[in-house]
Amino acid sequence: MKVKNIMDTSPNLIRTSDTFESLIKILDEVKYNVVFVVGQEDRLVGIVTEGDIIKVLIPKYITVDTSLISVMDVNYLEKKCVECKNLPINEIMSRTTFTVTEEDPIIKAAALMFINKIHTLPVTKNNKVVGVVSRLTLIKHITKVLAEQ
Amino acid sequence: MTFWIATAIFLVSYGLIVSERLDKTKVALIGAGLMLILKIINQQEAFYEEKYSIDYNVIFLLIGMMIIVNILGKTGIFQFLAIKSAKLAKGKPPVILVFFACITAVLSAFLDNVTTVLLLVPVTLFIADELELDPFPFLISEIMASNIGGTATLIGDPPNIMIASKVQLTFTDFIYHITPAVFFIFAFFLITIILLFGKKLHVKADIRQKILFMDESSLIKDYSLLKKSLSVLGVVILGFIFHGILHYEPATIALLGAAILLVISKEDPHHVLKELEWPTIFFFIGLFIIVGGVIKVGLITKLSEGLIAFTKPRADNMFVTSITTLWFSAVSSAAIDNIPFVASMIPLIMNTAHAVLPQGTDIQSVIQHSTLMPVWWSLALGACLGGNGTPVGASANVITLGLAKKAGYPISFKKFILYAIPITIETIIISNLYIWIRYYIF
Repeated sequence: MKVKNIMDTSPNLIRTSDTFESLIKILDEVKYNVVFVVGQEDRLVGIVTEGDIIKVLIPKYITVDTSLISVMDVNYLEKKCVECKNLPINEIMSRTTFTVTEEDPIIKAAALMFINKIHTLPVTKNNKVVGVVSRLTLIKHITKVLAEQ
Repeated sequence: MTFWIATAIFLVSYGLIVSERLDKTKVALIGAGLMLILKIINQQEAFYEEKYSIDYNVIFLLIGMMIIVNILGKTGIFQFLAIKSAKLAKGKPPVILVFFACITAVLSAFLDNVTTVLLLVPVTLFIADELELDPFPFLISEIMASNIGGTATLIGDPPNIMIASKVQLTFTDFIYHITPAVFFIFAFFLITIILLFGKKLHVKADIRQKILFMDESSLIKDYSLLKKSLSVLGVVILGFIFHGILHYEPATIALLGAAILLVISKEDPHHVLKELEWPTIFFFIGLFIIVGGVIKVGLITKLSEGLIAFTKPRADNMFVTSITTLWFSAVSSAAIDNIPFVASMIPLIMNTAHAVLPQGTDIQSVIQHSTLMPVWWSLALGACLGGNGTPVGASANVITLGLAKKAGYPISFKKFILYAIPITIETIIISNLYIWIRYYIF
């Protein structure tokens, strides 16, 4: 069976010119915890996950010396959120992203998720995002296969 | 034929180290391996003969100090000192800039420069972030302060350790001859950074207040370990001060201090030893063997003949040799790693001394001859301070710039040298005046 048979055709999309604030609004409303970033002609250019959002809010020097957390301002995160309000998406997103096409077999989507430890994959057609498959989509498909037997 | 093979190994190794196309430790070990396998130098000579062998005093002094600093670093004292000083400065950025430079210089004088900057850079980025300032003035000042502070003592920087070991100089020799120069250099350096950056470092009072509310005591992770580490470090420094009188090599003191600290701290030696900079240690080992090879085939003798012809040293005056050594060392150390440079310069100066000075009854009467001593001090000042000139001039520069980049504040080569070269020239001019006034006027 092919990806197009199980994919959700309403992926969460955001444009590179959008901001951190609009991203948070989208994530608050949608069912997947990822948003695909599209540029001109809806071509996929990146992906934003919950991890990317946290990464923006945490100062990078903390990754080198975690002991500094103990002297940080207790309201650091809140202040940083306001500071990042107008941060453009292209400064938040990850550029490397795995994709499947709607004509790919479902096993390819499953293998990519397993090997790369990812939960959601964009489905593309001529480089445009046309759908999304997640681990949950796969589980639902497996349930259906067993029920049909 | 052996002469040319050894020279080729030496030059190719140098070239590869400079080009940074291959890891410098790999280059040094391959070069050393070739010197041994081609029988330019045999294993007996490379391991045990004083004239050609690995300088184990340097190796074990470095290992001993690395162990002590590794355990001390775990206590959080470096971060504590930085936050405490920022509070003492009442959050005023220009004062913090000066305090951080002073802390870096003092710590670098007694501890490994790399560890010092590795622990101070994150807390510096944190303070700059809290003050909503560009961290560049703080970072470049710390790099420079680390290399200047490291110049001050026998244990501060590898070139000094290497010179002290071969010339049999004591910790107090460095305190007496080099530390005063470093005081002048550092004072001018502080004035320079204030003039360069002072006006750019102004923040509103409410932002400064954030610093005053920080609780630095939370940064000390283990008070008991801190007391033990500082006690051992204090005794080791005392040991260094008296090592000449007690007739112990610095490596003996550092190794014993490290062993005692390992026992009383109850730290797992596997963890501590795993975190030491073994690539640096093996880089030294490889280099010593390569240099041993070129000494044996006579390349260093030929180079020293060139130095004699160029600087015309006399048994009663080596002023030109001193000043040439100072500037040549500074330029070379800015361009390449100062460790291979000093490893080659030491035998070169020794050969020059043997050729020019009257042969005494013991080695000290030649290599510690009063006419020659300013040349050694020039080599130490030039090689240590020259490291400030470029991003690759010293390990502290490479580490700080790497950390800054990782933390999202990349500093370009051009921006670095724009500030670093004038400051380096200033420090070398002061060194030049110091050498001239202290050893050739009075």
